[in-house]
Amino acid sequence: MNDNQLLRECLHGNTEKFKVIVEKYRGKSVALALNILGNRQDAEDACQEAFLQVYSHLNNFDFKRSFSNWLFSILYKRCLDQLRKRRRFFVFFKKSKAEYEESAGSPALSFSKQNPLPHKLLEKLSPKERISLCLWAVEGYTGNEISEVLRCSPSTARIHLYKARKKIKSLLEKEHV
Amino acid sequence: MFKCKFIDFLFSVLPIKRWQDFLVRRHLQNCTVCQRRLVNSEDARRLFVPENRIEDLEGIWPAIKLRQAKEKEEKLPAQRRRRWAFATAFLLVIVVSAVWLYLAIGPGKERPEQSSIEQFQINSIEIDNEPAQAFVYHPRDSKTYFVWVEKKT
Repeated sequence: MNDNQLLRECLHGNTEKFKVIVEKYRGKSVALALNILGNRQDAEDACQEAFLQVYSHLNNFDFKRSFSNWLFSILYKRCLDQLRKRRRFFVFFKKSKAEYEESAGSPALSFSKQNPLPHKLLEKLSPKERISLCLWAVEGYTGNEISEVLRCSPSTARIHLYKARKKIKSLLEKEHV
Repeated sequence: MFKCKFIDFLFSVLPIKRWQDFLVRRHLQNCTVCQRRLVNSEDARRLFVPENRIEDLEGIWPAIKLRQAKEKEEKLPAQRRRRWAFATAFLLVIVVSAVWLYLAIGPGKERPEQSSIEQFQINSIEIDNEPAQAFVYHPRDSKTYFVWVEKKT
């Protein structure tokens, strides 16, 4: 059974077929989310939210499009949500830390960035560049396919990829020197 | 080399992504010098966590199913609440309209024009012992009546 047949079954209320889809794509999805977020727990949360969104919006799916691209585009949006949440948490943490230090007079709180990205070089890339590079290098996506995931023009996707490749190359060269 | 530097400069200066992409496709993809300044897919792949290194994926489906059930449970009372709110609002509109209609034109309530007409009546009018023609003018929202009497010609 291909993806479209499975999805049609899901649309008819067969949740077991959705389980097949989840099992087919969970590895790729978690890996992609992990490569964007760098945290397993956040990656799993983003994946769960993405699959739930896929299930509840199945009737909006255009069967002419590739399912994996659609899933990855939803997953990418959920990853951005996770990053936004994290940024809000960091702002809150910094504020409460400053307030605590002011009242106590000593720096007592410390927070280290847990589970950094798989490779620290990836931190230098923006999320768009990171996902472009990941899809290109790991999944073998072309500029057009990346643009479907990022929901931007193919030119923009190619530019993200080009910038990411250039940045990583120079960083790798610096690392070796 | 100079050409590459110039193209690089153009790339950083061009404001539109389509133009930048044109440069990338026309020059950078065919230029070996510029190609060497881009990471290849194999080196890039090494930076990422591959799918086969992801373990313990068994918990994802049960977690999704649990969240689905939870969402369904949360959705149901919300839907019910929305339905009740809609029905109450509809009923309220009907009740208010009915009360307003009752107060406006219900039994026992007469229209002011009707009552004044009933109160003000001219049965016959004469001028010099001859029947005359009467015109009654009642300005709106006023208790004054103007009566104009003319001899019939």
